[in-house]
Amino acid sequence: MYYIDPHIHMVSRTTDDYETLARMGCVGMSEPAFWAGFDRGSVDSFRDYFRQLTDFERRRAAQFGIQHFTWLCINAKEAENVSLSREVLAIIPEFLGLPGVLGIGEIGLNKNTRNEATVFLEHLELAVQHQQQILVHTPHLDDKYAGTRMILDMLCDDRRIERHRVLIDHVEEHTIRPALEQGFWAGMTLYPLTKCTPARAADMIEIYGPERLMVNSAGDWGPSKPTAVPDFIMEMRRRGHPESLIRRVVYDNPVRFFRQSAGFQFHAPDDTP
Amino acid sequence: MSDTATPSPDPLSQTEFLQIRSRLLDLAAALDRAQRAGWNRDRDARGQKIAEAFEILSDDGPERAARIQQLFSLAHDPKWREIFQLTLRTTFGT
Repeated sequence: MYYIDPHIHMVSRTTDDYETLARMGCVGMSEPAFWAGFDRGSVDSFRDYFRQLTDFERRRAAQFGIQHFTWLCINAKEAENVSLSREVLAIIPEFLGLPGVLGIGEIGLNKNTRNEATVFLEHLELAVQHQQQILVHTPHLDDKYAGTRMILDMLCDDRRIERHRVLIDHVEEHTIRPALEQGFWAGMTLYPLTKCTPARAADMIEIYGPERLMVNSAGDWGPSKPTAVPDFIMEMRRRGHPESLIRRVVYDNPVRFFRQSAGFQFHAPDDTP
Repeated sequence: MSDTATPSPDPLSQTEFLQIRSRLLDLAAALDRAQRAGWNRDRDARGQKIAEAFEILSDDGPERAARIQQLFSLAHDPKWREIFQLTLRTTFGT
């Protein structure tokens, strides 16, 4: 089955991973800008990172027939530095019109601070001004619930935000319902230890149905598994779910969400099953 | 939700039962290891959370996973915007 990984950080992965993903049926992926594992020292570091996302990774993926798309922002962790964040926000428009750029992301909160919220709101403003889609990172572990509620408060406060163009990512059992009920898309991240397992993601599909739901690996430089989406596919098959339902979650839904962005010039494989 | 398929007709398959059994043993062994290393559950706030999580596991109510997630979550303060003194569109471009 062909699939799209809607959230994966390939800058942290090897070329072998691209090949493995292609062999497992991955035909498209979207890569949000995120924290590199260390705080960057200047706006120029971000400019280079955005070049890597919009140019190099796109070409590296294409070698294996994978179509690569990306999102730009300063991540929630480095958003604690408001002055640097504003410098980064100022250069993002240089990249928004490039092929494969889907929008602003992954913006959000990390420790739910005032600075993070300030920069989140400024990202929203940037997205609105440039009619961009938005991909939202929700915090980890015990900060997730409060942070997700704060994020939903900020998004719902702004009537200019088109909720069907916003993806609330890393939802789990206690945050999926408010995200979906408010009309947003939601992503479940499949991680070995934190976030969600393939089995729990399948549970949530059974409980909430496939509407506006996606699964992703969020493969990065930490403990993560870039082939987690195929694991989810296998779990759904093991439970006897129809291929049409599985394909809707791992292929149709990402296409439906991403095609709201002008940067999503996706060429579907001829023989999509 | 029309596409939602019904899970396996056996509500608790033998495979699922063995996975539950295995995970319970993992939990028990992890707590035994911590105890052997000198961990005192009653003197650790995390120990209280774990005890509460076991209570949720052993009751017969719905949405145990969501309730355990909530147990391990910090509370949301609906007045956070007043505390932060943030209002929409006050910061960008000003």
